Formats: sequence, structure tokens, C-alpha cells
Amino acid sequence: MTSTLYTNMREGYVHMHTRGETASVKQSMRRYYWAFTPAIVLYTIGTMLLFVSEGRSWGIQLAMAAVPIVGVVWVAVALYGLYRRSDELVRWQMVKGAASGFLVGMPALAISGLIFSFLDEPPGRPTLLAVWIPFLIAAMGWSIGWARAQKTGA
Amino acid sequence: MENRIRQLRAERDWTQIDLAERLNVSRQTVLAIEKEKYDPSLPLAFSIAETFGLKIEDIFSPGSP
Repeated sequence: MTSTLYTNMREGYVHMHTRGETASVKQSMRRYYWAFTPAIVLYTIGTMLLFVSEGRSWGIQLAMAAVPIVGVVWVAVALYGLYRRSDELVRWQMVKGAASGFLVGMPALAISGLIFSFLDEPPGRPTLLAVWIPFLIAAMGWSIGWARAQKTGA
Repeated sequence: MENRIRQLRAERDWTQIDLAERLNVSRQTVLAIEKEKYDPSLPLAFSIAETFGLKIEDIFSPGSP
């Protein structure tokens, strides 16, 4: 499955900034968003399914957990594909973007996770909000880092 | 780091795309190096020097710190 995903992305989505690629920045960004949109949708649906399936059998819960995992794998494969097909500037931008996102995203994850752990009822049980808000903050951090890194070649 | 890539490219009447294709990198990379927003890796610096038929030190200089 990973191989199929990778092939699809290679062909259609994440070949921005490759040799001979004359696509405008707008087109490149469109490919970038198309690579990540399915992953976000899968993560959203999968997280909801996971919460809905709470209390059901382990088999069902594991099956539901597989959906967001596919989303995460999709992102990893998309990034790997993008990295492999990029030249050194774009690779450097990716690393810089990821580092910036990590610096913003990880403290945000920790702080918001801590706040929401106090709001949990009963304690220790994460809510859908507690899963999503840190994730969104981390994603925003990564996006900001990526956008800032892109300015290098603007 | 400072460089003379824009000048050398102009002397040869090459566009950024021409140079990018010769170096096997994106035009964005050529632009970033020319604007001195990005320092190329050593292999790419050698490749640039070879493309222009010059030594690395003829193209790149440390510049002001």
C-alpha cells in the first residue's frame, strides 16, 4: 500500500521543484496541498471513528485506529517523496521548515496537552478536542516554518 | 558568502533556467545562490565552478562577516 501511495504521489502530487519543473509557485503549492489534504481528512475521520468505537471490541478499535495511522503514513511518504525528488535547496528548506515547526509545535503540544488534561472528565481520558487542538497547533507551527523557509528563494 | 554567478551568467548570456539545467538543480536554487540567501554545498560549488570553467575561489569569496 505504501508503494502504491508513493507511486501516486510521485506521479501526480509531490514532484514540485524537480529538474525541468517549470510550474509556477501556485501550481507547486497546489501539489503540496493535494499531497497533504487526504492525510488530514484521513486523520480527522480516523480520530472520530476511534472515539466513536470506544467501548467496542479491541478488533474494531484497532481497525478504527488504522485509519489515522494511514493518514500519518501518507504524510511520511509524501515528505519522503518530496525530499527524494528535490534538489539541495528544497531539502534544506524542508529541514529548516520541519525544525521551525518542531520548535513551535512541540511546546504547543506539551502546553495544550497539559491544559486539556485538567479539563478531561474523567481524568486521563482525552477528548476529541484534546487530540485535535495540539495537532492543529503543531501543524500551524510546521506550516509557518515551511512558509518562512520558502522565502529563501523568493 | 559572496559570489559572481549573476555576472558570469550574464557574460555568457545564460538565463537562470539555462544554468539550472546545466547544474541539474531548480531555478529557485540558482536564484537563491545569486541573491546570496543560500550557500551551495561543496559538490554544487564544484559543479558551478566546472560549468563556468573557473576555480571555486574565482567565483566565491568569504565576504564580510
